[in-house]
Amino acid sequence: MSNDSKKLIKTIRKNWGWYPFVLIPFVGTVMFNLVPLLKTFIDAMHNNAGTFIGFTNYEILFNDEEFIIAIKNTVYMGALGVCLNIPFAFIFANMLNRIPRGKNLFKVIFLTPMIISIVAVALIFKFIFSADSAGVINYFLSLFGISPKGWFSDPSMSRETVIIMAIWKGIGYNIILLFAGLQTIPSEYYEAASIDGANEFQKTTKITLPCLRNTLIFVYLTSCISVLKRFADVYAISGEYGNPANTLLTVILYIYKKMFSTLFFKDVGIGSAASIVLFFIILFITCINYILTEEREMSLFRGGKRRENI
Amino acid sequence: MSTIQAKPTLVKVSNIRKKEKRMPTYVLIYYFILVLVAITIIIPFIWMLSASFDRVNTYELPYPPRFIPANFSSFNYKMVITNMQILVYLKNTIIVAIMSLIFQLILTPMCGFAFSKGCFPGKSIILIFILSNLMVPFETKLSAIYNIVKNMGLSNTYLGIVLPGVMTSAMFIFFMKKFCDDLPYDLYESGVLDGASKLRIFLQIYLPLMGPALATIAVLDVMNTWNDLLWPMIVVNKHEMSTIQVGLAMFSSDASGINRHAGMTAAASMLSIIPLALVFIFLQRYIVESIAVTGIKQ
Repeated sequence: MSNDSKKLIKTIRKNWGWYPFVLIPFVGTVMFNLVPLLKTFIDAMHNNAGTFIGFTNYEILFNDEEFIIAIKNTVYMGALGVCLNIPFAFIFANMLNRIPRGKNLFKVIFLTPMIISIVAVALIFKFIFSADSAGVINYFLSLFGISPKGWFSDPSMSRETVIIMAIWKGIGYNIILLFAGLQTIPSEYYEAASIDGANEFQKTTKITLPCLRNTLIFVYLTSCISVLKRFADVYAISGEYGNPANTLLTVILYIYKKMFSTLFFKDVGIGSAASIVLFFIILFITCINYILTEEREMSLFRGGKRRENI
Repeated sequence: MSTIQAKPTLVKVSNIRKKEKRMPTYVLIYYFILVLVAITIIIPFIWMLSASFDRVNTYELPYPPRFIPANFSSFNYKMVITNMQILVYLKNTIIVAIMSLIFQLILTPMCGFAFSKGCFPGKSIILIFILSNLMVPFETKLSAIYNIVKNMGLSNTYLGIVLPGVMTSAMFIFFMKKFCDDLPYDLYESGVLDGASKLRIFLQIYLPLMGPALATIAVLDVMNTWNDLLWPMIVVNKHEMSTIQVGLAMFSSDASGINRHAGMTAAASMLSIIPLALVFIFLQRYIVESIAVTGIKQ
């Protein structure tokens, strides 16, 4: 036995008391991360009968019209949500930062949607955005002479309505996050800029945005990841069906249908293949996060953090 | 004398007036917009509260929409409690939330403490290994995890709902490690000099100092468990073991197309948010803090 390994054994013996502290999360990671991931990879190469079929599942998957629709819906809804949510959250956070009084009251009000789950939100919004003329929104529109809309039940606007709902639920969180970031910018910067004669727009582009860069990247990329995992809201609206007309079918809903459905034909192999595709997309976004953010250690491991849908 | 003294005050007054005049131009607009946003956020809550106490005997929504109950009664709540087993769902969710909370509050500070103050071979590799949980979304390994949990005999149990989450809570461990990094190492050394074991140093010296971090984790964890839908729905397939979100989702989707009774729906939603609302009211400071910390601490 070499000297090095003897030394290693000696230090392990001396410090063995530390290992019990980290044992349970370590075992948990093996059991619920490493093994399931490998299992999913293997499942994706088998058909329902358990025969090895190589990459055929992926072929089936990309020729499956439903999966393509699911990807399109997820990306469309995600892009719409992120593009509306973050800029507005930024604007509102800036306003919140500028007002002299009542910041805490506004913060609490903006955060109230956090306590209500997306399922309950969906239940309530189904009535508020009800298709008949007695729904709150349709009634409000009728005051301006606009005819009642179908909202969730109309295939041409169901996705947008889900986004409205998700923004209502999620914008407060982003406002608070960006507001906390804004507060870390020293006010001297703005004072100096005012002395130099900068206007509000210049202050925003030359001071606020660069100082808030890391926060914005964090918000943007975690939002991107969480919208790819959109499930609870569309499930609460349409159940397993993704109705109306498959417009609310998302990737996770597709995976759920393929793996656990009680109503549709199940195929764990194809579901696993879809999971792997999703896994690589999310890994890709996490890697962008890793490259873009300066503080690498932190940002790398934030990628997959659980967040509500945007 | 008097003229000299009067001058500065005059200048001051005019300065203040100038400021007062200058401020409102944009601050008032900001207030106006922020109030509009706040109203938009509040209105659904008011509608829900009002509808839940409003007794309407048809399935149709009242026209025009009401924000104050016209026929005040607790009928809707009685209906939901007798017909929907909502109290059972609530009980299940509370048990699950408390179990998860206990696990988290025991495991994550211990682990964070070890990674921060400990010195043992393979520390950084084990840390990266545990943090890999954050790079692999839970949603991409659903069926494999379900099979593991089922083979452990834990499907349809509270432990089955809780276990995969608490054993892989890398985010909280990392957060605890960061928090513990800011605590001085000298405390550990003095503990060692006094002959205390590692566990005792942790329990008696470091754990009491971790209060704020524990509160933050508690808030985030309760919110996560309370609002989780996908995993409980997969693990549990018995009505009497369902959590509140699964119950609500079933209530929502088992009659897609058919109009639900608005009052009952609102009452069910109200009941589902009451426990979290209590948490929110009492720990509001920590919620705002926890969001800021998880997002900003860079």
